[in-house]
Amino acid sequence: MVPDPVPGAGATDDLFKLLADPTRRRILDLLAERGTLTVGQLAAEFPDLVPSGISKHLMSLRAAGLVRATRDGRQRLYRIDPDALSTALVPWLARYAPYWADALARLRVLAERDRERTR
Amino acid sequence: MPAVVRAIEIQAPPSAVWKWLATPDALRRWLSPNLEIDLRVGGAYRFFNEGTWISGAVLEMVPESALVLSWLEEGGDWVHPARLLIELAPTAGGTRVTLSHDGFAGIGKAGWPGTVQAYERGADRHQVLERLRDLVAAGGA
Repeated sequence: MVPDPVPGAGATDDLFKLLADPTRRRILDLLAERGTLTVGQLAAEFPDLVPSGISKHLMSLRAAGLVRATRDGRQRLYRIDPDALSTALVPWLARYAPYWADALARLRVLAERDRERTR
Repeated sequence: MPAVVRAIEIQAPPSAVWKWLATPDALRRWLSPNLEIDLRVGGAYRFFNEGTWISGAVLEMVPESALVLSWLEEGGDWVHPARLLIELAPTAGGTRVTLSHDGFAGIGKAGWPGTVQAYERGADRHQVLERLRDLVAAGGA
């Protein structure tokens, strides 16, 4: 088995692929706006799609940990898991950390040099 | 919740630091020498970073306080949509500057609809670039 060159990069790519789908992004938006929703409530927002299609999207969002489900009597309530989103972004963000460190150091030199001049 | 990438303390007041965010020339001095930016809300920008072209739009611009950009990586089959937040806060000794990214973690928060729109616009633009690439490849050599 070939190891991932960057630990966790595969997971991040999967996340972005998952979110590249506009229906899944819309589902996340709706959950973010309204807190919890049932499959039926979500399906009502997508009149062009069959409810089983919405269920499939919810399943892949749950598998990725982006959405959680709780049982309420006979129905399942879906809610977003914002921590999972933040965690999934960490490997991607790490790529930029050295660049930003350099950029901020340059900004500091520029701003502090101004201040010395005007003293 | 935005993921804080880096923060720094600068021994100068926010007004002095903001000067370095307020014009394209000033931003080029520290952010990236090849930055092109239409520095107003809704304005487009593009620069080369770590082997990748980054592009997007200015989402927010609050003098002495914050500059927020949508953040799209060009060149793949799809783009990574996110925001870059550059925030200034006064401290006893000067200014604390925080650089942070929020990607889809910004869902549902203020500014998120703008990110989605910028993402859609960026995706459209990238398709235009792909078409151009295909045309050049088809007609080239």
